[in-house]
Amino acid sequence: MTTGDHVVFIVDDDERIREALCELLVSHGMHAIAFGSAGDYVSAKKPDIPACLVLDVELPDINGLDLQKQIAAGNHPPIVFITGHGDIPSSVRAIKRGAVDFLTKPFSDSDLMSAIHTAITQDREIRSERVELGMLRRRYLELTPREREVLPLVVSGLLNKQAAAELSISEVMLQIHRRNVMQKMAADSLADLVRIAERLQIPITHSRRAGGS
Amino acid sequence: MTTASKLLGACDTEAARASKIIESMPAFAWAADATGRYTYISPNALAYLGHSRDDLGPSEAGDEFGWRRVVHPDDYDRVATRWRHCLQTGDHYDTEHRLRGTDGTYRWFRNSGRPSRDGEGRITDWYGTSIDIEEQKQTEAALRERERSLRELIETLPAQIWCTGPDGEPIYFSQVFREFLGFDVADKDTPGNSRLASVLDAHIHPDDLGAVNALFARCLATGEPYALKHRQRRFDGEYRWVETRAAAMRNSEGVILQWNGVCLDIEDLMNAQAALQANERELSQLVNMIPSHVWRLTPDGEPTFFNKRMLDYLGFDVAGTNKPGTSRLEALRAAVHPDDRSEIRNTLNHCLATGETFSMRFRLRRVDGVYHWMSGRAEPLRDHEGRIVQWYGLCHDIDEQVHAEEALQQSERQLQQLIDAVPVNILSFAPSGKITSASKRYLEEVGTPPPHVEDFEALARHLAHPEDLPAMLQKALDGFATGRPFVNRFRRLDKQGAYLWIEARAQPMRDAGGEIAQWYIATIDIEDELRAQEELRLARENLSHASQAASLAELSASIAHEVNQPLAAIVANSHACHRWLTADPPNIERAQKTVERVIRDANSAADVVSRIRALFKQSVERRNTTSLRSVVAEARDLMADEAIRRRVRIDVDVASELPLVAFDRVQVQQVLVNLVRNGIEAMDNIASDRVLRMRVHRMDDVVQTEISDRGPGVEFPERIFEPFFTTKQNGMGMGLAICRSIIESHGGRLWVEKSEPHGATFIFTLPVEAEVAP
Repeated sequence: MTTGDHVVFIVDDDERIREALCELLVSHGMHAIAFGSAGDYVSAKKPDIPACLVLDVELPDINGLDLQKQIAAGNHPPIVFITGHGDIPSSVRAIKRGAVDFLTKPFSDSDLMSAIHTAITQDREIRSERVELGMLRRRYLELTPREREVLPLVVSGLLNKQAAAELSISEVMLQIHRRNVMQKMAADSLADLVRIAERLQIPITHSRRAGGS
Repeated sequence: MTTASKLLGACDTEAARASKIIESMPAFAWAADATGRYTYISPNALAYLGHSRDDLGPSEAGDEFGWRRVVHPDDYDRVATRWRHCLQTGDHYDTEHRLRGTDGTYRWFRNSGRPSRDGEGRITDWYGTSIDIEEQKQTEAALRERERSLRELIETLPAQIWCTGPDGEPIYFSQVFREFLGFDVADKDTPGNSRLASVLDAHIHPDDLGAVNALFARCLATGEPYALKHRQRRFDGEYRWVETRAAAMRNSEGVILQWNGVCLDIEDLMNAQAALQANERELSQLVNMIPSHVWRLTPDGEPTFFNKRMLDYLGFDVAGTNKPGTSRLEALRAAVHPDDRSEIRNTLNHCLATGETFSMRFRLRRVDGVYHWMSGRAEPLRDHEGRIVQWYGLCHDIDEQVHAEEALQQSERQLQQLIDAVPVNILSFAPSGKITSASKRYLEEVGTPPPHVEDFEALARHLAHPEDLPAMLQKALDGFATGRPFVNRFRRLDKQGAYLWIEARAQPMRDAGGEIAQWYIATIDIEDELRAQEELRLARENLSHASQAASLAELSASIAHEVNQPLAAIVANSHACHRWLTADPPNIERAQKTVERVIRDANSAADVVSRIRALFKQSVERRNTTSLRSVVAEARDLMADEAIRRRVRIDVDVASELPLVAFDRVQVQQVLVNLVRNGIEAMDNIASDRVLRMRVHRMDDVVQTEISDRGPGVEFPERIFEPFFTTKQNGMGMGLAICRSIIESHGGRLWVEKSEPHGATFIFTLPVEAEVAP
């Protein structure tokens, strides 16, 4: 991993911890940005690259778990909790809400690094997926209205004939539309197109058997 | 003798006898001829007059009568004129005139003469007599004089006098009456009306006319004396009241000759009477209206008057005191309350005898039987010689006042009792600072101030501890000056000579105008309170030393946190260091930095540990032999507030005979507090019957302490003593672990058992001290 394409956010009120963790991450060749409070983190302008949030539970302004809840609505990097206490209910709650891990101080470096790696990888995947989805959506918007009508029929598995009848157009026209859709959506195969449709959450309402209705 | 001579002789005898008769008569006789020349004058006349007959005859010329010599000069002309006239006319001659006797004095005579006529009627002679009427005349004169003077008397009397005839017709008004009326008897005569009617109409007031007429008519008829008061009109038109009285004047046969009356002006009298009556009415009204009972006694003490109010009050009047067999005063005294009777009798008798003012309070019975307190006063009225004429008295109803006084006295007594009873000393001062009073308790406890101590400042200097004096005195003087209440706490010298802490609260009492009338200062003994507070403070301090907010859970949490932070940093730094050293090429510089941090943080961690150690070390040094009973009591006191808040009752049952145990008071107290708190919290969800029981008793060679609650009980009786084990939401799970370690360090045991029917009992033991520890 290069330092350029990821970042680790560290939020802990204890300076020693911030210092030590930054040191550790740098020694692993990672990029770290430290904050002393939840407010500082939230208000700071953060780079839009795969990230991980190493979050202390005992913060001066707001409990780390509460922060997790707060930022859950929007996009946020995966969280690795660190804490001086170690009560089970808190850890369970943290994990249930989607934290990558919940570590108690003092923790081993391998535990921490592993969690961070997992988190960053996770974030990377999420991001790329997001990007991809965005791309798909843009492509979908390129479709003409007619083409948007054709797409759900095609991915439902209707024969061209059936689909054309459905739309009251000629089969020839349908085939033309179908080819355009495939091209615009950059689908290699019908199966591909189906997956794309699924991702875009386009409802598959028609079935071949019923004959179209 | 012949018949003629017989006749002559008889005539001579007759003549002689006639002459003798004439000469013997008590009168002068005379005869004169027709010219008036005397033919005969009786000898007695001549003797009286001292003149001869011839002297007395008329003069030669006939113009003068000889008897001029003897007739009074004043009468001569009159008489002479008359005689001449009669001589001429033959009229009867009747005159009265004075004649001088030989002694030179004049006497009145009535001279009467009658002519004698012949057959032709010619006067031939005159024959007359003169009778001495001097006495008669004198009498007449005297009578006239008397009459005149009488008349003058009547005229000048300052009374309106009038007379009427027997028929009532007015015949006379005295001058005064005339002047009053402005007219005389006859002035008002009108034709067709009797004089009486006219006169009455003219001056009697129209409203009284009827009565006057009626009465006068009756009197005229019956002869009764007349008396009437009526109004009559004065000459100027004004009516005045008069009293008219008239009586009939009778002759010797009782026949009424005339009515004589007098009118007395009583206008002023009437006015005065009217004014007097009006005055009397007003006075009577006054006497009856004033809100007091008024009474009057004779000098002997007999009641003669009650005013209306008194009458209404008593239910009887003065006449009601007329009881047979007893004096009025006695009867009146019967209305006085039996308990006051003898005193009132004695006092009244004394006053009646000496003339001193009577003044006394007594109860008087009202008509309905209720007794009211009265304030009675009486004073004598004396005449100009100082003799007592009457006693005038007043009774004022003071019943309400007396009851109010009694209530006030009662209230005062109660207040005094209260002041004496409360465990507070009360002193009062005048605004000047002078001591005005001190409660009984104060005098008993502090003692009476010495003679030279008269005001607040002197008292303060005498009693206050020298160290406290300046501040408390300043505060007090400021308070006195500004009029604001103040509080002082200082040490005061008591009777035994010891200084004890007191709290003095001062408050001014203001009068109706807002001015300060008195300062009241209440002092209470706070020595015990302060001592107790001091002890409590020390106990709390001791406890707080070890327990850091009296919560082992929180303590352990914070310990953990304090230690974990540097440890986490150390671990991270160490790994970083390792990475730097194993990098290609090794980054020595970086590694060094991390090592420095490690050392720093390690020291910081060590610090925390040693601090905690020191905390426990402190208590370890305090282990000595004390009574477990008092520690239990202290723990109970410390948790009392919380127990009350959570409605938990704490029952303490400590055996009376407990052996000595060596333990660290603070630590064991920590344990107790922790267990008690747990027990209280365990019963949070129990609806009722929240009782926490603390029991201490000996069990062979240990002293066993049990803390029982009625909560849900303990689910994991062994696990709860493990560190970090907790069933509490916010607990760290350190409390019971530490408790166990404390107890075990004392050589005892701590465990938990089930309570019946539900709940937990935490039990710990401490070994009995065989002998007193050094």
